[in-house]
Amino acid sequence: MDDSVFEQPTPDQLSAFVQGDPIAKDEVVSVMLPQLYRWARNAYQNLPEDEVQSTLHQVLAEICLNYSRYDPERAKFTTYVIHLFRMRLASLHQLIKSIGKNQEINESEYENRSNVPYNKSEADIHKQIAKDRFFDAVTAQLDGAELEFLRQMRSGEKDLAIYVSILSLYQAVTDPASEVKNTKERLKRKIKAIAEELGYQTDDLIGE
Amino acid sequence: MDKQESIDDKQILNKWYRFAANQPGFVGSALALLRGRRGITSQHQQNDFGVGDENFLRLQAMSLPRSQSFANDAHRIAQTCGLANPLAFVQSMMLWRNLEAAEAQTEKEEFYQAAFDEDSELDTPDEEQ
Repeated sequence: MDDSVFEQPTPDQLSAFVQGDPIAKDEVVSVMLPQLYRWARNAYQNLPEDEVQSTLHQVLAEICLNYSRYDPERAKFTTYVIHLFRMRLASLHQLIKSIGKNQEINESEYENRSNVPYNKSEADIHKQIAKDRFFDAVTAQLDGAELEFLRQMRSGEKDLAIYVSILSLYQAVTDPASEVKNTKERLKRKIKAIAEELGYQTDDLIGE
Repeated sequence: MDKQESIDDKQILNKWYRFAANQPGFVGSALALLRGRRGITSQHQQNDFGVGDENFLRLQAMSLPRSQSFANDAHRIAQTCGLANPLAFVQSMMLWRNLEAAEAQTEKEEFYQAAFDEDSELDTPDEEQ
């Protein structure tokens, strides 16, 4: 692991943290939060300060609750927090963007949109229902990283950084581009196999 | 660390304490449940534990004790937050744990009872007065 610009918790604190020791959790948060808060405020000056702070709080609370998911051997504490933080902000940004897009669509455009239910043929609707049912069945057979990848792929996400952030939560990433590509391909093969098993056509299942 | 930075750190941590105190998995959520059940105020709890405003806020932002070392963790939390009466806090946490366990047990029993309720348990026209 590279040297960090952040002052890190001690190995003893981290070792107690991953065992769920409440005192160690408090110590780690006390050491890390002010540094992370200042970093986040500088890195995301375009976002409201309250939003940045609230996201950071949510991420830290989540890490404290799911302490055993963090592996100090694989990533520095700050790297782990920052990856989660960026993922949350990316989701938030995506949500804000989609709300903005929906607001921009005026009534006449809405009437003409091909994906409005009334403009869909019965066959399209059946296809959509089958697709949704299929993905419900698929999600039960995927692990954490695969699920996150599938969610992003279905929403049309192309940003490599998002996929790298997800992957690094579950494994050490040494070659981001090829590891993301491999994970996507493996996921597609897995989905194809499940689809064949369930008797679905795999064409156009994922919007990639 | 200069004074300005130290004050800022404190403000940053105080905001975290206020946030964490209301989250599940932190002491604040357990103390809030106890206040509701016992009909007492946070001032009452503070007096019981022998702790000032600042440390009471910090206490509520501590993660809950681990189940396998519950009393020991609760005692360590009390000491870390400078409680004058740590045993009152340990007792409160144990009471909370018992309430949680009792609630979980009741839910489980209700679930199983519903599964085994048979038609004979239901009202029939013969039984109606």
